[in-house]
Amino acid sequence: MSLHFLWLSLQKRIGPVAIKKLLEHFSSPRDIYEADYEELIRVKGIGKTTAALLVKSRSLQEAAAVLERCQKHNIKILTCLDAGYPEALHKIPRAPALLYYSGTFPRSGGVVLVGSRKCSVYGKKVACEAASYLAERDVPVISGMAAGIDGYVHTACLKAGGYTMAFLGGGVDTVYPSEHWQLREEIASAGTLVSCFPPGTPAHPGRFPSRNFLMAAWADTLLLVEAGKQSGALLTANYGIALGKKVMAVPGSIYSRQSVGTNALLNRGVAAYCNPKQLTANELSLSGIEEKGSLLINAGAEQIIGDHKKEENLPKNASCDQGPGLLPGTSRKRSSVENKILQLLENSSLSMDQLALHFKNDRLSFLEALTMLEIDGLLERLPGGMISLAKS
Amino acid sequence: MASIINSFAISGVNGYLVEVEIKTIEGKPSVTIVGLGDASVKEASERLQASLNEAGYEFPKIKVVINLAPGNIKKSGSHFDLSMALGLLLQSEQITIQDPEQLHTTGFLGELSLNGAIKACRGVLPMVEAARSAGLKKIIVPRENLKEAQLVKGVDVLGFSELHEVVAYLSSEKEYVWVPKQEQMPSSGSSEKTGDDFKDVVGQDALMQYIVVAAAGGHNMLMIGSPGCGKSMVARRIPSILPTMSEEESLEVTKIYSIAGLLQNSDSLILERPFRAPHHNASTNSLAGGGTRAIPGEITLAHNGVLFLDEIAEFSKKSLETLRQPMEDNYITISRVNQTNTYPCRFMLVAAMNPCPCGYYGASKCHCSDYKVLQYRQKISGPIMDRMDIQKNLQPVNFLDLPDQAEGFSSAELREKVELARAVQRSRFAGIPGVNCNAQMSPAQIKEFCPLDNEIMEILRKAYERFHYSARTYHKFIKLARTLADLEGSKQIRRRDMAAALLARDLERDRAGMMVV
Repeated sequence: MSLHFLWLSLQKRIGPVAIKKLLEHFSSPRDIYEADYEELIRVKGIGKTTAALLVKSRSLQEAAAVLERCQKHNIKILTCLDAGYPEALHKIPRAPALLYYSGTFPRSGGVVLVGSRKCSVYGKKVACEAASYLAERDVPVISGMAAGIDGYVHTACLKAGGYTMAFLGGGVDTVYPSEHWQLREEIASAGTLVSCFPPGTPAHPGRFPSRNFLMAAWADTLLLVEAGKQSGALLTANYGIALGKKVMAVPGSIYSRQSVGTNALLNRGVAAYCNPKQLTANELSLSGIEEKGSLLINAGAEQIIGDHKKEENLPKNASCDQGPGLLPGTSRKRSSVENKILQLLENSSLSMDQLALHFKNDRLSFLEALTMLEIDGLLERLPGGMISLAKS
Repeated sequence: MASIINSFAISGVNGYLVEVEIKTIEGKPSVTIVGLGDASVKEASERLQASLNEAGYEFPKIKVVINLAPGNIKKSGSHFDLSMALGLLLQSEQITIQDPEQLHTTGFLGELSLNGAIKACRGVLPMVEAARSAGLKKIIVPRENLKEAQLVKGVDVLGFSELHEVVAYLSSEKEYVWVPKQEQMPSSGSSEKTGDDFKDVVGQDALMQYIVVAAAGGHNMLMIGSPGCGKSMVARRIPSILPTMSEEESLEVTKIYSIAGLLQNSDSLILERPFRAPHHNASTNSLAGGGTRAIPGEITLAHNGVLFLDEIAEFSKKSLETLRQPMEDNYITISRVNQTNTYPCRFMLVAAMNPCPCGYYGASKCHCSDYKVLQYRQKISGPIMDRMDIQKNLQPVNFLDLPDQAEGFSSAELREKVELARAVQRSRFAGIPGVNCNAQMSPAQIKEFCPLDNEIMEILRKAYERFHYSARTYHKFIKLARTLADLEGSKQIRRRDMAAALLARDLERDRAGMMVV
């Protein structure tokens, strides 16, 4: 049966809508394959050209080749006739009728996290945080396996032991971009790779919109992490809005090029993402947003909330600014050099050399203090080697 | 009877005695040179005919056979010309020598010009050394090579610039007089300093500490930094803090440069440690050595000095992998059809690279994803990375941030420290062959020379937990700590030494913080 379905899906002029119409009319794909011209044009929505084309291209050779390739690379096929075909896709006529997947059986629903390929450190942080949050709650994390945000989303989800699905703009057996080959393997073993293109189809920007549509159709919720002016991720969000999904965007700096798209989306009335809890909440106005929202809305209560916050933070701060006291979790006394390092890093992150300028006379003591502070987890290394105080 | 004149040839970095035998036989006029000479040796016959003629002698119009004994080793070079010419003149009885015994204890080197002048040739230093070890008393060299030849003590070196001068000297018509040019007075070993000094490097104090460690312990080093942050500037100055070369080392280096024809300042030994910085599109053979005559490559030219590979990620993988074996063995054997040579190559490897494809990793303008960065860094294979004990990030220095009185440490100051640490290591490794510095210690030796107390072990354990270092870095940290302790003259590795050593592998730290599968 799947061979005939495959044949149908490979026909150039017949899209998902037509396929579904044909399937409504005929009892099986095999009947469509064997139907003659007169029978075909009787189907509503099938024109003369399409019918003629179907009759003319009555050969299973190509479909057999694709099927063989699928079997060779352990790629499985999911059609709209199968039981596991997601309910969400059934509702959308334009959703592909046949999907290729590799890895575990695709779970329906989930949250799409997408963003630009050239992302900022901020975007990376938001994406990773959201992905691991979802992973811990066993929500399928969906993205497009592109460079940048997409890659981080999958990686963070896998690292947190979650289930992730990658929707590809090429065949399931292709790797794009090339640096993600290892990530692809990991997703194939712990998650699912999904594509509406037959195996071997190279990834191409022209195919990304249909991939984006499929992603938007599959998920319940979409989060746009970062997007430039003409980002493909923006397209995904737009599809999500059009399909009536819950769409959110991460607010960014108005000067950041990577946030132009997200901020524009927010302007159009899309919900602002401030907290991972929003991703799993049923209604947009639930807990996560309220906490922060109340600060603005109930301006009168600011005083009280402010004081409350301060109190809450007090023990945390105290452990950091205690001066020459005991380090948390250790019984070691902090040396004067260590204190000076902490003091220097209070307001800005510095490189090791910039710090060293203040310890001209005893560099070895300085290095020793730096190591000890790092071992105790009080310092953090930023990409490129800058040192800052550890957060939290 | 054939005339026999002593000359020399080069094999690897060493010279050996070659007897140039010349015999004239009745027959059709011709010149035959045998003894596995290459094209430059064979062409000597044409040069001989012209230069003898020009110098006022007659080229014998009979059959001439010239043999370079031993005849089973391939030889090359144009420096046999002088000995061939003299042999021919003796054989054809155009000159007579008062004291034939004198001829047997004299060696000859020099290429002849068509005008009868004697021209400079390469490899003079090792050949004069060969003359001394062969027991010769005197050696005649081209005047231009005189200074170089005089570096070898214990043999009389005479320099001539014309063929007829040599003949006049041999036939005792004229005494040998050496008229040194005024400016060529034997300089008392003061080689030209390049003028690179670490004083110019300001605001990179933490890095300097590790550079001193690298120099003191012979540790290879990788610097990672954005374009223009001073990687090359730092690398170029490393030779200035390496300990001064011993006379033996100087001689080794000078010999190599003599063979490579790179001895520009030919009147003294090379006293400064070599600094070689091949470009990243250098071929494998130009790095390792090769060519038809198996000549030394960059790694041999960097012997006793620093080999600096800028943009190491751009070098071809094959070229880099070639370095692995020689770095272990400290010598390289190059086999070609014509010859097989073994050259020394004990160098300190200093490499530099950008942190990511765009070069500005960590800056806001860098959009390289972690996968991309890692892919870029993986261009340098594990085994090569494994040989880099120190990997340090370099940040561009903002001069406006520096205090006014900021001044770097002078090279002389740093060198003093390095020398001290090296002296400690020399006495530690005395009697252990193949180990000169901490970097070369084997695991067994690490156990012997680097005992660690419980406090240090605890720090190591914690650091591995937090920094996610791989297990094979363990010995590297101990070796580095050993050098840090040596620099301060401490017998024991102290907590501070180990703590500082643990900051020496920035690349690995980066790796641990990356969001990759």
